[in-house]
Amino acid sequence: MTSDSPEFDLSRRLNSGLKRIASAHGVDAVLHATATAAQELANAAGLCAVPNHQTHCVISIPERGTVSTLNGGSALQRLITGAVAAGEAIMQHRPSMEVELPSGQRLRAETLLTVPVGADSGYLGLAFFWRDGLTPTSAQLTLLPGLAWTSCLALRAQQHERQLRESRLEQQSQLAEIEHRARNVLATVRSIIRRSGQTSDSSEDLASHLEARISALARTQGAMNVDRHSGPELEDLIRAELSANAVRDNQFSIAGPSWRLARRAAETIALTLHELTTNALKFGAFTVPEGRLAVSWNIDTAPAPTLRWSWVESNVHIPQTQSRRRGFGSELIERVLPYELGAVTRYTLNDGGAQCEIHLPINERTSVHADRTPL
Amino acid sequence: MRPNPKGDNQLSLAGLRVLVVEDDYFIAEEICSTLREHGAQIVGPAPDVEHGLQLVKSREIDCAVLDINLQGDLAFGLAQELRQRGTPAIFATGYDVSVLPGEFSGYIRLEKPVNLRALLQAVQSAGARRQPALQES
Repeated sequence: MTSDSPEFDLSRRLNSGLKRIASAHGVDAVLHATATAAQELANAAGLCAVPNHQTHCVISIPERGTVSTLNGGSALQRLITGAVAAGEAIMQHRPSMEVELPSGQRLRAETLLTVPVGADSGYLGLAFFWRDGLTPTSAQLTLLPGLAWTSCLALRAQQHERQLRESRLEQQSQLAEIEHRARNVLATVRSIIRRSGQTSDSSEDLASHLEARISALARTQGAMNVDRHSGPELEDLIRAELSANAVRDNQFSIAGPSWRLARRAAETIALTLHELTTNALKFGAFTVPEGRLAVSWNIDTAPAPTLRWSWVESNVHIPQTQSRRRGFGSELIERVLPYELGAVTRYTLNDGGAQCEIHLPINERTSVHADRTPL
Repeated sequence: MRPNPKGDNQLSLAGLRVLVVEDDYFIAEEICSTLREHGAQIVGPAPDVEHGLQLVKSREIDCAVLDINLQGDLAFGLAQELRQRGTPAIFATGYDVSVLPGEFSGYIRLEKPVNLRALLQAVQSAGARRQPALQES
């Protein structure tokens, strides 16, 4: 029972409370803001205190005497009144229990009162015990409500420290995760820059490609930050990409069951969607008002769980002379998706428009729901 | 526009068979093409531990470049498999050095994004250190 947060407000209050009580009883002690301090004070005042597992401080009176005087309603009443006046809720936890003193001596004790500290942690508090046949002095009796209050503060401070420690740990792991993610995103951006440099014809071409690709990646990050513990919906990624490019609602249809993508997969799929959309705007379905795009997917459970996704453009005439050179988009579809996600892909550019099929194995790499049975 | 590692003309990896295990396609591609440009022969690249292990068991390898975190799986089992064969490995990773198990503390570790010149030097010196396999029996 130690405290390493002396700056804690509760600790300060506890220290001053303990010092007040100590000086009132002529005890000269250096006190720390812990339940151990309450124990030290109890010892110094001639009481015997035993910490009872981590959250209890058991205080008993070591001298011989008769217990009968203590069982009178007035002594108990005084203790309870004193503790209530100090702002603490008082309840009797259990009537008696056996405790072991530091000397090894075991004693059977009666509980007079307990101070509940944390509601959600069940019973957490301070219990006072009287050994059969003992008589406390009136000074010791006066001491008890103060001890109840100060020890209660100590236990609370301890509890808060523990919560603080836990939340710090949680914060540290979140920071590590953010750092890891940032490195990954930067690695992806670096790759995009490098590959765009190799597949662009001019510096203007490169600049506009880069800006658009990094914007597509940024949209994915935005979608993921909304819900930290799950990936973005496939449908949201598609809508975000189409609306970012101001594609008119009547030119496309989207149909498929709700599906959340894992983070890494979402990035690659978003970049792929971006390339498909850019191509449709450049020479595909979105070059003419009557051009149409149908994006749809379904989930197959046999032979292995697979997401079958398709992008089908129609109502557009694409001249055979259209360049089919391998760009960043075809590299994503033909190489990156198979390599990173084990996808089986096909991209064709027909007279009627582009068609792309992606069969994505459903597993922890690709889906947030991989551990569940797909619907 | 791209880091140009061709400055070290004296650096040659000719004849070295290098296994590359990296889950990011573009990073794998960058590492492989850099190594190839300097004469190395690439085994892989493998995107995950499973494919990496298949290659370790079926191919002759002089040196390996391993990403530690492969789609959520750690590459240490793979590194141990290589170690048993006396094949040196280099870790290329965004992870803090503290996650390296003690047995790999002497291994070269490159931080992502990988400096390609450092990678070439690491592969060259690791390839030169290739030990005879630790044969049991």
